[in-house]
Amino acid sequence: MIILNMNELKKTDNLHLRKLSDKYYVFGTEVCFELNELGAVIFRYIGSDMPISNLLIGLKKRFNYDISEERIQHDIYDFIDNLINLKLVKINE
Amino acid sequence: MNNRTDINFPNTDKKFSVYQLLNDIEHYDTDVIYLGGSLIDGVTGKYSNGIGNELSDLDVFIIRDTKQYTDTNAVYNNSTKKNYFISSQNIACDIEIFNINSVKDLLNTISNMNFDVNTRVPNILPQSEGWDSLTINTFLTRSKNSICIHNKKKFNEIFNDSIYSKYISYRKLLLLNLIDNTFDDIWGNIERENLITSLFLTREQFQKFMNYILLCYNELVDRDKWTITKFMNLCKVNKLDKYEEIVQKLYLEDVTSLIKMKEVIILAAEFIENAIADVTLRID
Repeated sequence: MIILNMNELKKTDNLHLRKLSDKYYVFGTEVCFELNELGAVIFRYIGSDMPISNLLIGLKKRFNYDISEERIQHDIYDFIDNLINLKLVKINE
Repeated sequence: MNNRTDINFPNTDKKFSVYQLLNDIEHYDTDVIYLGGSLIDGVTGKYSNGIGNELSDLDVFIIRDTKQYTDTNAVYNNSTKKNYFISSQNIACDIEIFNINSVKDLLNTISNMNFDVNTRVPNILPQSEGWDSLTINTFLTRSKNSICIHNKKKFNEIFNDSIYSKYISYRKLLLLNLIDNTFDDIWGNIERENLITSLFLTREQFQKFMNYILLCYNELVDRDKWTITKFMNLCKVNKLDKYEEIVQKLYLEDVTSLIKMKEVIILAAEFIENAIADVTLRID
């Protein structure tokens, strides 16, 4: 699965991202997940007009990553795949 | 703006001559003089429509070189400033005079703030004699939306965008902490069915939240009474309809029924949690 923009994705349920104390949680009708900050940032942009290329630059800057952009991109797609497999997110048709 | 012409104050029919004011106040050639407060904020502030009225005072700030500052007589003296009062063109003017060295020390302290995760947020900006948190916030808020009327070049050397940017970052952290720390209280009191307590806590928390959002748009506020006006203006300009809706429900609707009260508290508290998550996770 290759997407170029986060607006190609859509949340499947009425999901809310919430920050409680220093942790991030995704709440839905029947689900609740804890995300780390990286996952929370990516989740925040699901459905938004945010090119993947801009997202990875933003992440690299925010987290001061000293790794290649290819690696960050791989991690982004990995995370999105997980969200799709958990049926929290789908491709926007 | 370095302005020697007239100023038209909003919400009043008063036209104010800067030239006349400079004649009315004793000053030195080396003074930096700027006007601030609600009357001026109403003219210069992006979200300040409705701030300032016929009964507002005009705040006149003077930053003075040390020797002349020491020689200045005033009605009130403290370690940070001296002030006295005059009337100019039928407007009450509060003249506040600061020692330039004291101001520069404060601004250097702000410039050198270090946002270290191991430092408690309130300790990031150390307070010194005469500069408590309220005084610092008032001083910077009023300078940011001010009109400089004497020595603009020196004014720009003293105050620059990076100072405000650093200070705004600090204020956001402070407010975020305060907002975060209230959630347990709000939810705890709902569970114990102390709904009135929870409602008041939520309203207090939303007040802080409004200030936080204003800071996200680079807007400082130094008086709680002006927060709601600036926030509602900001919502209109930026089409933040949902934010306006929460204000309506939390402060302006009938919540005498306990069911309605609980509904409004949960709606507002969840909204704040969502909005904070959304804002803190932005990378654009």
